[in-house]
Amino acid sequence: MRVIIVEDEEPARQLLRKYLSEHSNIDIIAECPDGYSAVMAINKEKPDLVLLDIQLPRLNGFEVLELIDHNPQVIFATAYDEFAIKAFERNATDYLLKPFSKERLTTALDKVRSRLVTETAPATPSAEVSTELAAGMPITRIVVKDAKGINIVPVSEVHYLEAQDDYVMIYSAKGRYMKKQTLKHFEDGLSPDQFVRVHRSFITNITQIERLEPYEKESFIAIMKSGARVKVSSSGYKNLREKLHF
Amino acid sequence: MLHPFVSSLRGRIAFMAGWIVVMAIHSAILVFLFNISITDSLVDSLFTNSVWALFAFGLWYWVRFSDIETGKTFTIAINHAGAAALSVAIQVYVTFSFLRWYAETGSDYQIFIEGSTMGRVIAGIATYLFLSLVFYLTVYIQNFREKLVREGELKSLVKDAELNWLKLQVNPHFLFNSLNSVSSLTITAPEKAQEMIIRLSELLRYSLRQSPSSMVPLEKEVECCIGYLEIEKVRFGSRLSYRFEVTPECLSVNVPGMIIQPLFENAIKHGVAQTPDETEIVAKVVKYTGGLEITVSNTIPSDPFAAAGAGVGLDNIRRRLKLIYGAESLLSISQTDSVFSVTISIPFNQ
Repeated sequence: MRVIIVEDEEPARQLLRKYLSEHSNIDIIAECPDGYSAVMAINKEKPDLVLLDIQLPRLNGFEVLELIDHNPQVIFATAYDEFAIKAFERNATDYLLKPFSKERLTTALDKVRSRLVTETAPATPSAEVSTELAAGMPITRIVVKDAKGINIVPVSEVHYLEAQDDYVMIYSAKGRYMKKQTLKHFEDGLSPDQFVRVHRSFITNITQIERLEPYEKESFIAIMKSGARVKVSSSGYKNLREKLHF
Repeated sequence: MLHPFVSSLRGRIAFMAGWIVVMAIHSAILVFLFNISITDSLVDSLFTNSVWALFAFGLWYWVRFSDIETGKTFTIAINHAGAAALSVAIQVYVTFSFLRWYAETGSDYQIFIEGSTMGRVIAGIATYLFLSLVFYLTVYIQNFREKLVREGELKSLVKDAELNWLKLQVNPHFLFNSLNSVSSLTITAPEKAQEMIIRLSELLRYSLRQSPSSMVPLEKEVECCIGYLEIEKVRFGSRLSYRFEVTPECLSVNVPGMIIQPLFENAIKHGVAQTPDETEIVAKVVKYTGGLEITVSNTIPSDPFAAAGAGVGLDNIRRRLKLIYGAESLLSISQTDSVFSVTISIPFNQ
């Protein structure tokens, strides 16, 4: 079994190495001290299993999972118990609370082995559930990958989002980014003080709206500060009125 | 409530003095308005008012019983009317009996006594009203004072509770991560594991020993922070380096316990933990005329992926400083492109 360890603390890595060394046919193919190098290594090496910390430099454990093309089995290893629900929603095989025993890791590895036998590939993470909300954290930044690499988009720089089939197009100060995700996910996860669903296909950052113009009957067009034009439906208009009190 | 004119020496003196004044006025009226001899006036005054003074002891309990804040106005009025009628009647009767016996037959004074019934009844009612008024006022003032004391106690209780809540407990995630390092060290370097366990115990003991408002010399705080940073150095290795710049004169100054460690924790959470590169934390303590100024700064990772942002932990320190010193803005944050600093001011508290 090919394993990648993603862990920023050296003593914790040492412990994992020691525990894993007592198992036969486990091959540690990479150790990554931060989230970014983890994404690169996982995409390159396509491991069977990733041992993943959550609080990591650069990209956190969940962001790493959003950015990888390959779907390995994941065992989370963290000192935080509050992310367990979110982790299992991401179809994690197990969730270890630090410090954990050798036996506890063995149990987790047994789960991995039985999954490897029964499933050809782990199910893809469900995008239906708003995982940020499940963990009680509003989205503060969006990570997206394109041909040039990984981009971090702070939500304050997002102008608006548009649903496009299975993807969401994110329009920001620095350009636009496409992410495989539902608009509902962003509607639930983004701060409702700043973002309003104005249309079946659009969410806008209300601080970026320049003005509203009437368009056909009962619908409007929001002219953004960037000059972009965003459709506003009659119910979207109602949402905006409630938020902006006009 | 105890009888205020019996329970304390001050009460007793006030009570006697009050009656002496009343007796003096009483005698003066008899001497100057009715031309009674000084001796007779004094006897009249002394006896009449002594009887009233005895009544006054009982009247206190009657006033306490007829509490105007809880009782019905009508009931209280009836109570007092009855008590007034009874006490005036007894008082006038007793006084009359005594003074008649005392007065020489046929003297001017005897004639005066015989004609003074109406005056004595009116004076009796006035005395009753006056006494009740004084007693109600006393009750009111006592209640008011007690209320002030209770409110003061309550306020300090609330403040203590809030401080308790804000008191920095060692962050459980820090504890679990450290224990994980210990777990690793037991295998790779057992003697270092022991060292780390001792450091952790010292830190825990220090933090448990602090009460919400306890003050410790800065030296102890610095020791605690060094212990904390050494534990974190085991976890983060070369990613963390630190430096203290403290002038020796500051070391003996008293500061609130566990007030500096959260600043380091904040620097680690938002600096060191965000980048795989090295982060330096610098603590500077300087003395100025009004107190100490403690600054903890950390280098900001130049990493485009690092998540920025200050911690909620800082709000707790701000609130705690405000509760202890009653002053706003004892904590300030500043940031340049490469350095994030938090400064707290500890006023000298003489």
